[in-house]
Amino acid sequence: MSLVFTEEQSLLQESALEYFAQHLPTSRFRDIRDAKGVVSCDAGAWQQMVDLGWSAMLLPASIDGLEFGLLGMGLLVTEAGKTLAATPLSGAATLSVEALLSCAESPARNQLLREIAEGTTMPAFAIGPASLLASDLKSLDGGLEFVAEARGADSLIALLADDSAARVVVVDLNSPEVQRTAVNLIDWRDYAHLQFDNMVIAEDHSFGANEGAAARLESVGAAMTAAELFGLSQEVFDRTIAYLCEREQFGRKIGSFQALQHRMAKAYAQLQLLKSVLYDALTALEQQRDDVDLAVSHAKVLANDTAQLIGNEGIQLHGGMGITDELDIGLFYKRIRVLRSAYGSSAQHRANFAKLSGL
Amino acid sequence: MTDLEQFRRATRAWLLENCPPSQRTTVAKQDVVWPGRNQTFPSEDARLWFERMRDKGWTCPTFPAEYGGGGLDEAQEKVLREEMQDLGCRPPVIDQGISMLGPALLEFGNEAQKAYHIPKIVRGELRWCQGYSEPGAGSDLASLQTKCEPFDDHFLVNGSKIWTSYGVESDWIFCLVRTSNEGAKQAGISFLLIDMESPGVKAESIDLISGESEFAQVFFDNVKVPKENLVGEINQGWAVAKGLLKHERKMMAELGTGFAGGDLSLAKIAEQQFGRDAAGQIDQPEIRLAIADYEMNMRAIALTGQRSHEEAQAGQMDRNVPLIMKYVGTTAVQTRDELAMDIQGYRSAGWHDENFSVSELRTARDLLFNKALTIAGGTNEIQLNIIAKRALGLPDAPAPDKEER
Repeated sequence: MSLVFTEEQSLLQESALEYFAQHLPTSRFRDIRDAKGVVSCDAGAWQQMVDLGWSAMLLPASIDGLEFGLLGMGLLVTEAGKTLAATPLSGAATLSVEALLSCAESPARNQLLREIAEGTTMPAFAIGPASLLASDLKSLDGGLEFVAEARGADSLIALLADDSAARVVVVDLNSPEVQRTAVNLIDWRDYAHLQFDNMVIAEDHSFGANEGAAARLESVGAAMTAAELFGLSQEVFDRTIAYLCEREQFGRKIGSFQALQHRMAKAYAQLQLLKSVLYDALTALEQQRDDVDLAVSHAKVLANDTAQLIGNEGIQLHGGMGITDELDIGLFYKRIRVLRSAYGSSAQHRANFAKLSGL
Repeated sequence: MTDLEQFRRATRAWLLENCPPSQRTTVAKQDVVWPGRNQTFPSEDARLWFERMRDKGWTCPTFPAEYGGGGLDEAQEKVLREEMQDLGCRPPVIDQGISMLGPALLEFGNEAQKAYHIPKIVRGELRWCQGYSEPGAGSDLASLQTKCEPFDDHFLVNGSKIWTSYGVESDWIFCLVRTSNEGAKQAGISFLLIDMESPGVKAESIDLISGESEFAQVFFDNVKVPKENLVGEINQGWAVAKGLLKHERKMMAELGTGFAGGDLSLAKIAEQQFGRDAAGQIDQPEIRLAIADYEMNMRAIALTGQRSHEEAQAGQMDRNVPLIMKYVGTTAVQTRDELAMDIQGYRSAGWHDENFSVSELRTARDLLFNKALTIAGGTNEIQLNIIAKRALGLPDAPAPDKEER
C-alpha cells in the first residue's frame, strides 16, 4: 500500500484541516497582507505547529523524532495550501531537516535537528553553488536569490554543492555580515535576496553532505511544491464548483450549462490523476525508490499544469468577480503562478522525465 | 503460507504446465479465440489452451462452480489474472457473454435462465452480442423503439439494432426492447435474449473507416421469442441494462489501456525514424517531448487505477474516481495513435500494399478503429455529463430527459 493514507495519516489530515481552518484561514492571509504587505510565518504559529509535533515529523526516533515520513508531510503542506497558510513546514521542517539528515551523524548536527523540532529556531532553506564557500570552507561570500521565508526566518540552512561535493552550512541571518533585501512577488509571500560578505561560518555549523544530497533536496523541494500546488488546485476547484451551484444567469444556475460542466469534469479528471502521481512521488522519496527522480519530475509537471488549468478555469468561471481583489480566487491564482517556477519549471521537469525515460 | 499464497503457487504451476508456449505471446486480432456454435480455432495450441481453461471453469473464473464456472473469489481471480499477465498467457477466449451478459444474468436472471445459459457461456458453446443502440437511439438510448409485443407463449419483436459488435458472427443477442409506451421512457423497456437463428433475424455488417466491419446492424422482422427469454420483470429492463453497463465500461477502459502498450513503443518508432543525437536523445525535440507527455499520461492513469484499487481494498473507495477512467484511458490511446502516425509520416499511411510492413499498416488502421473507443459504451461527452452530475454534484441541465446512458 502506498497510494492511500494509513489511519494515522488520515487522522493527521483531519487535525491539519482543523488547525488551518481555525488558526491560519485565508482571511488571516488577507489581514496580514493588508497590515504588513508581506505574509510570513510568525513565531506564534510556528510554535503551535511545533506543539502539534509537525516540526519533528521527519526526525529519526533516536533524536526524539516521529519518523512520520514525507507522504504525511506532503499532506500537511497540501492542507496549508488550501488556506494560503504561510508555514515553515517545507523550508524548516522538511528541507532543512532533510539537508541535515544527509550529513553524517554528529552531536552538533543532532543538536540543530533538535532545535528545529523544538521550535527554538526557524530556519529558511536554500540550495546554492559551492562557489559561495571560500576555499578553506570557513566563510561565505556572494549571494543567494529568491530565498523563501528568509525575512521571517532567524537562520539559514544552505546546501552548497558542485558536481563533486556538497556541504550543509548553517548561518545566523541576524548577523551584520549578511544583508537581506526584500523581494516582493505577486503572491505577497516572504522572499529575499541574501548577500554574504565574507561571513565566517561557525565551525560546528558546517557539515559534509553525502553524495546525491543536492539531487535529493531538489527532488524533495519539487515534491513539496507539488503538494502545495495540489492543495491550491483542490481549493480553487471546490470554490469554483460552489460558485457554479450558486450563481444564476438566464434564470438558471450556471453550473447547469453543459459547456461549463464539461470543463469542470475534465479538470476533475486531471486533479484525480495529480493526486495519484503526487502520492506516488512522495512515497518514492520516502522509500528512496530507484525511480524517485522520474516520479518527482512527473509530479511537478502535472502539478504545475493542473494548477494552471484549474487556476485559469477558476478565474474565468467566476467571471468579473474572478478578477476582483475582493474574492480569494486571485490570491490562489497568484500563488500558483509563483510556485510553477519553484524547484523547476514544467519545461525542465518534462525534459528530465524524457531523459530518465530513455527518450 | 496463507491459502492465497498457496493458490498462487498452484495456479502458476498449473499455468506453466497447461499453457502452450505459443499461447504465451502477444495476441494479434487474428489469433483471438471466439466461442460459438461453429467454433473454429486459429491453431491447435489455441484449441488446447481454450479447452484446458474451459474444463477448469477458468474461461469465467468468478462464475459459480455449480454452473461450470471457476468459483473463484475476487482475491483468487486477481491472483489468476496477475499470474496470467506475468506469464504472458493469452485470454483463452473472448466473448460478450463472458464479460457482460454472464455477470448480468447471475445478478438478474431466474434459476432456469442461469442453469441453461451460464454453462453454455462458460463452455463457449454460443457467441453473444449486444443489441442496445438503434439508428434513432444512440446517446439517448432510452428512446429506443424496437417493439416487443406479448402473445400467449411468446413475444413478437420488430425493429432494428445498430453498432452491434460481431452481430454477423454471433449466435445469440441480448436486447433492450420496448414493451410499453406509458410513463417515463425508461419504464417501458425490457431485457430480452434472442436466438439469432430465429426466423426473421437478419444481421448486416457495417463497413468502417478502418476498413474493418466488426459492427453490424441487426433487423428483426416479426421474430417470435419464447417468453422464458425475458430477463427480470417486464418493463424493468433498464435496471438490468444499467447493471450490465458497469461491466461494459470496465471492459472499455481495460481495452484502452490494453491497446496502449502496442507492439512497438512510441520511443522505438521514433528512434527508428529520427535516430538519436550525441547525447543519446531522440533527435526530434518536439516529438521527444510529445512522447514524454504521452508516457506521463499513461503513468498517471496506471497510478490512478492502482490508487483506486488500493482504496477499495482499504475500504476507502471513492466511487467517483473510476468514472474518469474511461474518459482518460480512451483519449490517451487516441493520442498515441496520432503520435505514431505523425512520427512515421507516409510510412504509416499505407492502406494495403506489400511495400509496407505489418506494423506500419497497423498504425493507421489502429488509429481509425480506435476512434470507436470514445464513442462506444457511452460517448465521452456522456461520460463527462456523468462526472459533472455524480462526482461534482452540478445541477441538472434543463433537458426534457434526465436519464442518460
